[in-house]
Amino acid sequence: MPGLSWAFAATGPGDQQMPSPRPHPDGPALPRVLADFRLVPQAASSRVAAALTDPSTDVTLSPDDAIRVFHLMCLTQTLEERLVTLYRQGRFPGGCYSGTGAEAIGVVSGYLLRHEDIICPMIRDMGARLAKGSPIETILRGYLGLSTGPMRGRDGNIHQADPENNILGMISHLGAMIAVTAGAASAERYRGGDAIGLTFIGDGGSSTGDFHEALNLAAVWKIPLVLVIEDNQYAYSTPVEQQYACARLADRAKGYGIPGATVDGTDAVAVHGALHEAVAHARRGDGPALVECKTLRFRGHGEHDDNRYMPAELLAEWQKKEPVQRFQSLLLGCGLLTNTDADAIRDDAEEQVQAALSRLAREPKPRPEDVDAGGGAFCRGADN
Amino acid sequence: MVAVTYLEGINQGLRECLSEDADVVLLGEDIGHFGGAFKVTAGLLDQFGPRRVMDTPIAESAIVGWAVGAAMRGLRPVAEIQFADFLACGHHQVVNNAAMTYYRTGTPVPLTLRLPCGSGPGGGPFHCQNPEATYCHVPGLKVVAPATAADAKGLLKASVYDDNPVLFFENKYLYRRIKDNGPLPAHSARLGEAAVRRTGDDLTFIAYGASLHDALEAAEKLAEEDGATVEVLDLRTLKPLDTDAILEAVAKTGRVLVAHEAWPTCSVGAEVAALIADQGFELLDAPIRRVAALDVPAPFAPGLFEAYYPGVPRLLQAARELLEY
Repeated sequence: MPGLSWAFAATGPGDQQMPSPRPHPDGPALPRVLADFRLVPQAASSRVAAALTDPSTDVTLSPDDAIRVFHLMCLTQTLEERLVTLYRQGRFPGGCYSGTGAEAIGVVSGYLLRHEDIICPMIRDMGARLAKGSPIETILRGYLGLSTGPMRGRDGNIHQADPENNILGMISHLGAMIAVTAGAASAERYRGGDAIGLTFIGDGGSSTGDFHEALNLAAVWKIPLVLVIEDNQYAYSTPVEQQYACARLADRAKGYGIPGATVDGTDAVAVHGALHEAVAHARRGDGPALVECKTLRFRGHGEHDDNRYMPAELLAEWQKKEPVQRFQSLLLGCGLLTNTDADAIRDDAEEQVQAALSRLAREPKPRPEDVDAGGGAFCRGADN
Repeated sequence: MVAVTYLEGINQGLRECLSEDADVVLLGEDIGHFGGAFKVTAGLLDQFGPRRVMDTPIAESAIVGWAVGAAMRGLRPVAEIQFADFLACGHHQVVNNAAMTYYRTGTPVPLTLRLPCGSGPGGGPFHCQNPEATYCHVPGLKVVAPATAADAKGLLKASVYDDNPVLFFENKYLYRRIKDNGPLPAHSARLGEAAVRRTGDDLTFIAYGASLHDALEAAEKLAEEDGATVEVLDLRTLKPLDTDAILEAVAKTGRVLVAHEAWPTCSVGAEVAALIADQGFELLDAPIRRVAALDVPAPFAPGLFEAYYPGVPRLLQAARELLEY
């Protein structure tokens, strides 16, 4: 039987060792105060290494990477808080959806990828955009509907793409982007190289038929795809008890014949460990991998939703594990950062967001005649 | 000179695209070692190998979604949806991703969906649908419906090389019944251009797909039995429509009958009629008539199917009413 003899496996030599993620040239800069930051004294390094090691996978986050990840998490939180303010001021069209509780998941996912890798952030993944290299200005242009952004006002907010940084623009139909990300990653493999694709789905989106179709196809074709399930316990107002009946969503991986892991999504070190392994698995050409990150969505589905349906005890319990504060405490506790350093990083995040907003003040909004400019919905290629 | 069937025309078109452009890949259910449910892709796996011709699980949504992602990264995927009816299972990837990505993000999506459609009794409600109008409605999609073997090849190649998502409705009834003299030219058709298949002065038929052949047969009968000459316009591309060719064909006779195998409501015929009413009202000497399938699912039994299908007898009846108007 001449079945599928070819799959989207690695075409080059197996990449057994994960390279250190590369900082992106256009991405948020390391805070100036940390530019010549002296890392911890040698004596404390074993304490730092222990704190930054995920016991489940034995993967260690380097001190440099830990600081960058923390900085990106602060930036994510700051930018999203600012967007909430702008939304309340009526400064941009449409709704406002933020990723409170998912900062570690998004940032680590984006951070572990290379520039050529393809990522498709979903609703809660501002951190993935920043960590993949999307400049703050680019993201804000999308929210503000400016003609200078990649979407030129034709789409915006969480749906925006950033083609220069290989960021796909999600559509609202949950599950749809898994197959699209798989196809994009397959195309890169088709041409050689070892790029991978990574995208996200929520506990709610995991109920869609597209989740199943795409994950099954990716498994059969061994597509280098990492699927991150962000189980934030609520799909809009629907709690997980009414969403799925299995113990853990990652258990579904077994049904597709792919690896799956479940981690605490508020723990940046644990998220890093599991995703590091998943990315390495995909990079090697071993096919897709599933990582389920459990967290809580601390706000409503969007700013229009006051999430009064969430039990106060549940919120209080998870607030203790708020990801940015939790990671900061870890970095302070192991001696990698001082309180002064942490404050400086948070201040820098504020400054970067403010500076980006100020720079956009004079940028143009689209004109009515732009609505169908350049062929409208059709691409006018050389032959079209 | 060797006759080439409509089906062979598509096969040749695919083969040439695969040979000419390394970015072209094929995917679909049973298209590889089996050669496709209708054998349209026969021999292509052997010639081009499993990196280029890929069998998929049964997953229309994932097939279209994968093709969107691959096309966004510069491949030119050609996906066979085994029956056009089953595109309903991939519908939202077509309308929300394939159609809208370019407008939203500026990234082209050069994919082609091959959609075997139409056919006769026995197919029933789920194996002979003609859902082209559903997709004509959506901005960003091109919709193509060849009626000849030369167009089956030429329009297929034009679809593959177009930088937009193209829905290519290939009519199963025509697969082995319609032939053109070969060898078929390598490049013979452009999207968006209709073709006059017969010239006449008394009445204009506008048709596409299998209905074009019914229209030609009806035109022949009208010439023989009524002494009337009929202009027959083959739309070939349903979106974008060739507005100029339609208006020219209307101007020539002042009497128009639009025919297609698809359902009537909000159909391509409805669009063509609206276009003529908008832009060619003063060219008309009679009301615009449409002949389409009845507004019921395609029935299974032969007697019912014949009553459902807009064949030559209904065309003749409508044409004669128009000629007498």
